[in-house]
Amino acid sequence: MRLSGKALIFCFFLAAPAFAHHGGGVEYFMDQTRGPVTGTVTGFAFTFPHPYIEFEVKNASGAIEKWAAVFQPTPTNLRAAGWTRDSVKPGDTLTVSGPPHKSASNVIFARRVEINGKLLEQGGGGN
Amino acid sequence: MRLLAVLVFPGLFAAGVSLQQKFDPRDLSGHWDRMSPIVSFSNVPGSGRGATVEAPFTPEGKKMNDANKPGYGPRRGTTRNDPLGRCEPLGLVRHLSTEIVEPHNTFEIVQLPNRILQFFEYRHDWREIWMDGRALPDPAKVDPKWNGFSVGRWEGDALVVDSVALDGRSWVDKFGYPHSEEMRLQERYRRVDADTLELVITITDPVVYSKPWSSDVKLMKLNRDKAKRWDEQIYCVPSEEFPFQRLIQSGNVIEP
Repeated sequence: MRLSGKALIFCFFLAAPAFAHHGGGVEYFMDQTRGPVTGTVTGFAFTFPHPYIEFEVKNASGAIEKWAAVFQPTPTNLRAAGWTRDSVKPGDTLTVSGPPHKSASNVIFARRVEINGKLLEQGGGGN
Repeated sequence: MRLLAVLVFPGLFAAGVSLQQKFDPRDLSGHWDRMSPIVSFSNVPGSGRGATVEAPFTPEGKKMNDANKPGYGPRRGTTRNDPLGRCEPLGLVRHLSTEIVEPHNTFEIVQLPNRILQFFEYRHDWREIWMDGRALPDPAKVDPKWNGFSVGRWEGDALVVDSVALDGRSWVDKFGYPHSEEMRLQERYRRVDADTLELVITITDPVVYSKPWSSDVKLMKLNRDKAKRWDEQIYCVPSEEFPFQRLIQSGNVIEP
């Protein structure tokens, strides 16, 4: 599908404010994708405004790095898509890909999330 | 002509009648969803999200505006001092012009014999509008409140609500427009059909704005389904909000 220049500008204004409160339009490179990154879950904050998963990744030299994957949808949105606060548990294997944070090297915007090899749909929404 | 329509298109006419639900224009009770694009106090009608009408600042108002660092809109940046990011109350005018998108874009109106209560889902806040004919307090004799003091009256089928003594720490909207504690706020609500509520807000604040500044026409849609579900109770919880902001390095001034 091709989008005209005007349509692209419209999409930008439509999307940017929705990301701007806590991430995305300002904090993330929304036109880039990082990952997939795989690690072991250490925590899941199923809280407003945006849930996030904390996880650990073993880097190339074998050292453990602390990471976080941040969702755009709110808990309400995720619940509508079938999530609960127990959908992600410490010890689970997380594979995530999405836009990278601009300054926090180990923070990623959780666009695609797999837990123990199973893709979890997020639905839409968020602010 | 209507008789002709009935004779010629009876099915169509019947359908039209059934779609036009009866409603009491003075009954505003229910859950009302703000319809996009309600992103700022005074959007440019038809412009989509992100464009606002230029505010008529006084020199002092311009200075106050420059001191506010929003995370949204044309002045958004990575260094911010939005009270929202500090879990401070949004204040009445920002509740009304709030930025929250579906599904947290609702306020509920409850009409009592002498008061109207308005509940804002996001931040789980509420305000009262006295309808018993009482006068507004003298702003010089009361302490300002985050949601101020409000009285309402009916002008025809328009509910007109006047408010004073609103705490000056709140922003008008997420784009960072300021107000002072001399602000007088007027809301005009009009239920234009069974499912649609209009709201126009006017700020009169000689400290910040050189003339009364009105919002665009905000539209709300009645959400009958939301009236059946549990309330989300969306508080701002410092022990959740601040770690999150540190995590994503939002640049907000998050601690006092």
